[in-house]
Amino acid sequence: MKNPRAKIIPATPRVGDVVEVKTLITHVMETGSRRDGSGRLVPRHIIAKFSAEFDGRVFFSADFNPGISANPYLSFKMRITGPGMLNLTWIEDGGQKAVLKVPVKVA
Amino acid sequence: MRQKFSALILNRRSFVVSSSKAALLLGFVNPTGGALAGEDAQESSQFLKSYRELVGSLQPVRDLITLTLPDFFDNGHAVPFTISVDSPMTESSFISTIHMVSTANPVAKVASFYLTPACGEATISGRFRLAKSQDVYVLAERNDGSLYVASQFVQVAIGGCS
Repeated sequence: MKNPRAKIIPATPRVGDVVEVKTLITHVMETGSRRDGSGRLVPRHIIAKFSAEFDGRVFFSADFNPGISANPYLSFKMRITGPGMLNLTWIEDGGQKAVLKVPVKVA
Repeated sequence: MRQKFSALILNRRSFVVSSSKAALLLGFVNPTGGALAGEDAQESSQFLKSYRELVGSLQPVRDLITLTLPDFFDNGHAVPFTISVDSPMTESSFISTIHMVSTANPVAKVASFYLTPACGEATISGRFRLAKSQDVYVLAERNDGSLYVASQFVQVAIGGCS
């Protein structure tokens, strides 16, 4: 799990606008049903949870299963209430986290 | 030679279209119609179990959801999807949960999304895996407890999940 990325579109919205938040992270998303060269099952290793928090409040979250592709891309919407900090968190099966802070600017 | 070849393609194409239509019909009839049990059906037993769990005693309505999926996609490892549910996303009326369920993947549930009015719009995009050609179901729950459903058959050339 590395290189979390995010983009707010448009970059400088007005208060009241609904923007798109595009997120991407590098992760193998190993399904647990795939076999390696010697026929053994490769253990499951996925990002199981994602959440988006603005000013201390989680407003969007997701549970992922092995059906989500490697290097998960996820896009969702957010209503702009003012400038602040958007905290994005990806959590693996074992509890390991990747956190990305995205400043929200307002025109 | 060329004529023979094109005739072959035509045959294959008409076969593919008719079989996918039949599958679509099956998928439509099964989960909503009550004729659930059939082991010969295209849906995995895990899908039927997950679907029943998510729906509970409610009757999902085919409304509000716009499911954007390719009818045919080369690579089952990363199929793009967009789910958009028609909702004002206000405190009094908003979509709270969206579930995505596959009918023939090794793990039926693909993802669940939890929304709040602060989202502004109930629209989500991403990429998911399809082990083989199959129906994909989306269930959306509104804050008042009403349930909506949409489904589409997606044909993949190369299966993912392998």
